[in-house]
Amino acid sequence: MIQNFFSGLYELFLGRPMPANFTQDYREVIFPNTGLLLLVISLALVVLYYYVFNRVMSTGFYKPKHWFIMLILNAVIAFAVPIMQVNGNGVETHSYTYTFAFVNAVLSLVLFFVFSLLLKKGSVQAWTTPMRWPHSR
Amino acid sequence: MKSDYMFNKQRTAGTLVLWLMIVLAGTGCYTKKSQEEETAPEPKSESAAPAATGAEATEAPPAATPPSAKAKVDVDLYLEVSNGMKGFMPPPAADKKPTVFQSRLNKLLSEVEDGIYVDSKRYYLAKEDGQGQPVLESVSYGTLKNTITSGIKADVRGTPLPAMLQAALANSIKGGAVSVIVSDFIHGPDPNNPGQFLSLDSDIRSSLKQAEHKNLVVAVLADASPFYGSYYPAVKKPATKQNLTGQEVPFYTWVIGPQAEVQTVINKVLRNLPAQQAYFGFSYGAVPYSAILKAKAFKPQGVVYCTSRTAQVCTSVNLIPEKGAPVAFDIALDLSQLPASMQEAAYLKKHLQLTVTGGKAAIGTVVAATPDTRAVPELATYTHFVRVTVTQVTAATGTLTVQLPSVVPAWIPQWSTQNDNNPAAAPRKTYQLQKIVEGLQALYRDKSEQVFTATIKFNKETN
Repeated sequence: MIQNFFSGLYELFLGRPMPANFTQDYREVIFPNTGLLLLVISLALVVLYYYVFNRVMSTGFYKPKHWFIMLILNAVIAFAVPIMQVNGNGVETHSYTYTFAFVNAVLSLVLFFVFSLLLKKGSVQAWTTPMRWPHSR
Repeated sequence: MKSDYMFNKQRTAGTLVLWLMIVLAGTGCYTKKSQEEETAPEPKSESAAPAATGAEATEAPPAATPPSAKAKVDVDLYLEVSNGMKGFMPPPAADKKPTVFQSRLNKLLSEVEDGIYVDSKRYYLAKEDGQGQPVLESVSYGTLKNTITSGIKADVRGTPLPAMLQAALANSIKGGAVSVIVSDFIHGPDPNNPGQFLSLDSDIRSSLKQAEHKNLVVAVLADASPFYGSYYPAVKKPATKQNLTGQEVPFYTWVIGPQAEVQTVINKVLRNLPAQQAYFGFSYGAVPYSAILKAKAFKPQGVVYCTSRTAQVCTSVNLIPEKGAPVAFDIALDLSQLPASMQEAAYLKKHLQLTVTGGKAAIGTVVAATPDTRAVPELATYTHFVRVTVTQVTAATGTLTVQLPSVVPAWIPQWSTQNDNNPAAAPRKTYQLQKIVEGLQALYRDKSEQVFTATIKFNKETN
């Protein structure tokens, strides 16, 4: 299920895995691993930003600048994870690997933004970061 | 105030937590998952292995003997002694080189006597008792060795070929040994019964019927040796005998026994086999094979991948040839149990066949293993690599079967003649060798026509 979901998602953007002889490694391991890690890491960074830095600890990281740094950090991790997955599973590196990393980084931007919208209301200091919408406390 | 305090006190701690989480997310989670993956393959490959062997078991002929060679064997060595064999063993002299026959037989004899692969051994001189019946005279190692080096002194007539084979085989079956029969295999029928000339094939077949009944196989090795002295052809016209001075005359070594034991005799005892080899009744229904898709030395082309990610041995692939991009990949075979002559890449290239269901495909290159491939663990056990190109797939699933049909070796018709009266003009020919071989083949007519088959299933790639 999860395997099919993530291979479907990534192959939608990337097309069939290349080199083709590693198709099953991508579909059964690399895509689901990367997808799950993408979800978990993005969620963790959002929670870290809104609930740890700006609620539990009340650091001064509540400005959009700080949110943006976290967004970029998440994208960098999202770019690194696919490459690590490909190398860690003994799959031949291909230009496909880097396209995959790029697509994963773009997806991480979207996810980080969506998680931010969903969770920022619970933050004490940063509920208006990156913008006030849709809340109006 | 409170928030300021928190800010100062825990700012560094916060950064630390941030990095910790990143590190955990990046490595901890990652390792855990990959560990799961590493443990995952085992049950899968285990469950795949019995399924694969099960499939092979049903495909292989039921009589298929396990191809592994036996460590030690019992050997009965028979040397035909008759006037016709004398020329192979001319009397020794200091300035004379031994004939090919003598040096081959000496090596064979010492390997049988002293080698580590032979358990118990018996030596026989096969002769005729004066009434046309074969006699197997049990002799010592020394006597046999002396016969080979010094020649045959007594005046002995040859026995009819089928009768000699039958007697030798019956003797060896009783003792549970492999028969190694060395003879010129020139048919010398009973002068009172010339009809034996016509029925040579069926006579050979009936003389060896025990081999079929006991599921034995026959290996025939042919070599030619210079011949000195009187040569007695089967065809007595125009001359009943010819005097030869070093012309080459064929002699044969027949090895008869259970497949595993015959393989031991051929590969470990005889060694250095002559180029002319023929094998009857051998089967290797289940040679190990696998599609090779991830090796650097044999990169596949087009869209093709192993159906199972974790299988050590890949017998099922997913593929789809696309326009301008046919699928090509290698099938690795372990043919180390096959006779050496069948392991030659040129022979395989010529005779290997590919049968396809559900598509169109062809065999490309056939290469033997090299030190480079032996160095790669997943390729190390395979001896040959057959490239298969799939240009079209017409069904959702199908099979690619690489098979080696058993064919009569090309040398047999070349070494066979209808008239052996003048070996000086046509050397290296034996009277009606082809008929003798036909008789042998008749023994194994029910055995699989394929020396081996290797079937790769394929699924048409859809998504």
